[in-house]
Amino acid sequence: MKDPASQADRLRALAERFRAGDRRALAQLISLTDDGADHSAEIRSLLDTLAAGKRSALKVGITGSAGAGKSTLAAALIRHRRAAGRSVALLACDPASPITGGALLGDRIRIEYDPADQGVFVRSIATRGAAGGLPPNADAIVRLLEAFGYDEVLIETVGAGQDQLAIRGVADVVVLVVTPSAGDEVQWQKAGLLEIADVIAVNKSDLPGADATAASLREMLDISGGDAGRQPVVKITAATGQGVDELWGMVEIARRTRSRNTP
Amino acid sequence: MATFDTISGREIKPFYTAGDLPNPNGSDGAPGVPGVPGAFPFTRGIHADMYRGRLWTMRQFAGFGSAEDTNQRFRFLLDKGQTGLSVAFDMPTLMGLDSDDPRARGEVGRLGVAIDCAADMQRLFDSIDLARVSTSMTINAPAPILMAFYLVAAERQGIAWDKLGGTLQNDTLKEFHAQNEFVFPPEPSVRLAVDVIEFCARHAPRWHPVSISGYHIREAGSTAGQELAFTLIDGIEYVERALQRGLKIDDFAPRLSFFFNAHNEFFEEIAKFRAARRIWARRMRDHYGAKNEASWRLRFHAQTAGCSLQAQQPGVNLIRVAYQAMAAVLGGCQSLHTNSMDETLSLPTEESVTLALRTQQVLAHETGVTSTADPLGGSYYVEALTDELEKEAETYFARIAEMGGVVRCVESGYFRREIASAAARYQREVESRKRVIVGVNDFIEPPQPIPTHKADPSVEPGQIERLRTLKAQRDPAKVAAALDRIRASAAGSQNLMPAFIDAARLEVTVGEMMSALADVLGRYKQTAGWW
Amino acid sequence: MTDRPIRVVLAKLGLDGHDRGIRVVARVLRDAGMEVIYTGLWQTARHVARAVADEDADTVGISLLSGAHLTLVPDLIDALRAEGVGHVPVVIGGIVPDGDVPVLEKMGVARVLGPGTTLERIVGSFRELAAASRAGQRR
Ligand SMILES: Nc1nc2c(ncn2[C@@H]2O[C@H](COP(=O)(O)OP(=O)(O)O)[C@@H](O)[C@H]2O)c(=O)[nH]1
Ligand SMILES: [Mg+2]
Repeated sequence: MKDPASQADRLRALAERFRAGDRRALAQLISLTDDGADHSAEIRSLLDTLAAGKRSALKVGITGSAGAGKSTLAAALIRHRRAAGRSVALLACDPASPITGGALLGDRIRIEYDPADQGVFVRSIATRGAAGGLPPNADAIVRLLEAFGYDEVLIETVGAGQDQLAIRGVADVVVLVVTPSAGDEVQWQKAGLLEIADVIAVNKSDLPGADATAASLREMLDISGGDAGRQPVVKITAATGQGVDELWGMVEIARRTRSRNTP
Repeated sequence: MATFDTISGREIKPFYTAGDLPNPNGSDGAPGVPGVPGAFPFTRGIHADMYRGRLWTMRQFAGFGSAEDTNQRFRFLLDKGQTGLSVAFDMPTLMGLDSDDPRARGEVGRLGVAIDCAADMQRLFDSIDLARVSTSMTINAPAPILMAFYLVAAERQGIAWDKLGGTLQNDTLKEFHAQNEFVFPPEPSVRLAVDVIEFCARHAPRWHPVSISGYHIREAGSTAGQELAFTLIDGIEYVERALQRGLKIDDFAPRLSFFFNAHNEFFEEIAKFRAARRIWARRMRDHYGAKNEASWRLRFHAQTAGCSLQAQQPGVNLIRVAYQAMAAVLGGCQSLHTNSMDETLSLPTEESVTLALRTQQVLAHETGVTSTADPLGGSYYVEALTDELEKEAETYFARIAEMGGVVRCVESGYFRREIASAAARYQREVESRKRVIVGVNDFIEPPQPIPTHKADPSVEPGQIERLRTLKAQRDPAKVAAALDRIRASAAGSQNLMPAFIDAARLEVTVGEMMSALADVLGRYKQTAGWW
Repeated sequence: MTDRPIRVVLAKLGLDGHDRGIRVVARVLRDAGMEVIYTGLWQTARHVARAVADEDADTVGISLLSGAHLTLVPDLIDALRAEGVGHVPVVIGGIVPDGDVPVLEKMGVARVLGPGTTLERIVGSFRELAAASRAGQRR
């Protein structure tokens, strides 16, 4: 039972604090947006006012199977972007148990940050059977982060199953993280994983087999790439940050290409 | 309902017969006959006369507060008849932080003794003759540095390094599997451990430079079979790395030592110790071609299972510890720590430490279990279990090799996942009361508070003060040069021990040396397989 | 809004690395339908507070076996206040001598769950505290 008037008051108060740059208001608005309840329409209209006149952020999706190193890469990107003076938010999505609705969200383990740094924001989200390993209101949450003023928004999601297309809808650029493992390339292609990616990162290239995996990916993409040219494949070691600078360069190129193609 | 599988989930038959005896090949004696104690493959013990020749070393782990506080506890224990010392360091020292580091706040001298520099180590052993006592030091990531402090303390007592006896835990691999006191990534961690092995082989030949430890793996919830397999495969990893350095197997293998858990499941534990000796002896002789019999003999320290102690009815812990200790002795341990009954509640009081030590003395002098070697040898049950455990370990070795070896399996989280699933199974069995734990899920009584050890709040400020004074008295240029040398050695492939020892002589601190190392080696966050 | 799963931040405060207990707690809270955000080992008070604030957690559970609770818990309470989440109930698990329990409670800790606490009681505690904390937030 909630009183609609007090709910509206509460949203208004939160919006006020949000505009004043109160990170707690952002955190609470994300919770309201994420709960999938009936007030999403109110939040969306609120969002329109919050976002008005704000610069848009560069939104980067990070997808790949569990254990590929997505969180480690997110951590490396946060370091890289902070060093470049950019503010970054990370939305780390992990699936909830379909039975209990509970979830273990452990992505923060990999993220190192200075607790006094206002330029970083990390939020863990449990996804409940929604398409694409994203919460139903992912687009709204990303807009909140954008409206709050983060220069860049990273979205980590497990790209499992057939429905990873959702990440396309919220991210400007999608990075697929894979690990060296002979023979899996065909599976990735069959699963349609390669199609949704703008950049493919072969992570854990400190382990044997990275060169072979990268080469066979390139070969496969050359065949299917057609006129558009194939997506870039880059070897990285997220754990040490090696290759992350190059990866970011490709992300920026991909963003420019994409914004030309989709006016 | 009663259950007839072990706490490790091994099914037990209603009875065992000659048909269950293993069929060991050749040197282990005729089929079905387990051989004799003191002979290859040492299933029945590493000495023919076992405890008739010499009792195990009664070694109680102790340390708290300042170096002086622990020095006093050491002298108290030696007075009560303890025969070896075992140093517990505080958490900041274990993690390689100085007492004045902000991250050390509240933890200085709390769970162990605070040692920042060689001068602290010297005070820790004040009036204790390092040539006569054997000392065990439980320390891992910063082990080479604490070893350097010890060597310098000995030097200052005028004692030559080749007179020093004792053990450095120095087993970083199990930190990744279980204990979580790692600092550097797996590869450089192993390198540091092997630096000590190499250095001691040349300069401190009586010292045990590593104590390859299953204890913590078991405490994290592993089965007996996992404890056995993961410990021995870690040992093999150190051996491989030492051989890669160009050491000869017989130059260092005799000084490797092991550390196992003595848990509740009485016969399975005994079988675990016996299997460990047999597997190791075969590996050393048949695979590595060791010629020196001392290389074949697996020596181990045992500690009763801390995780089996309960906060409810703490007095009952005395009984658990006694049975566990008997398993360790029937399994042929070389040294033993018996836990105190109050250890789930706080650091042990002097009374409870004394009772724990008395437990060993009763075992040694009153029960008669020491009169003959391996009294259970030839038992259908124990021999069959020994064989099963050996097979289980060999299966794990093959799987780990397939997955690319120990370091790869650390990185992929394999060890942690295996341990976690065993721990979860056990947890469910306790929750569902499939397993009875006295005082916890049956035979419950209202809580009875017992007196516990009170920490002294003045330790931390005192230690910080002393450290600041010491740091101010040093020559900054010399300290900086010593740290540069550590960085340079770390960046190359030289043995780091000489650089640590020279720095220790200048009272460079553990925190300073560790951060110099981290500049080059990097720091490790958390391993995979967390869940 | 009341259906939204309870969000719990779990953290190891200080240097001790014993995570067997917190792992078990994480699992049972998840199985009880909660969203458990684990922040890893070796957390400082300020890191934990930041996680509680940004994750908009309903409660925070701290495991600490190092005996440093009388020093680290006041740091945590201060840090939570500084992040604007002083109202979030704090649960402490681990080795806390009986005599220290009232001291911690006076500092503002909501619950101390010592060794031997049943999993049922742990789940119940987080549930009650989260409900109370949300009710307070709405007012
Ligand atoms: N060897 C190696 N391991 C890595 C690298 N990046 C991540 N890992 C490890 O892979 C495991 C899974 O990483 P995580 O980032 O949690 O993967 P996620 O599930 O995709 O988010 C962890 O143990 C990481 O330490 C890398 O570059 N090299
Ligand atoms: Mg992740």
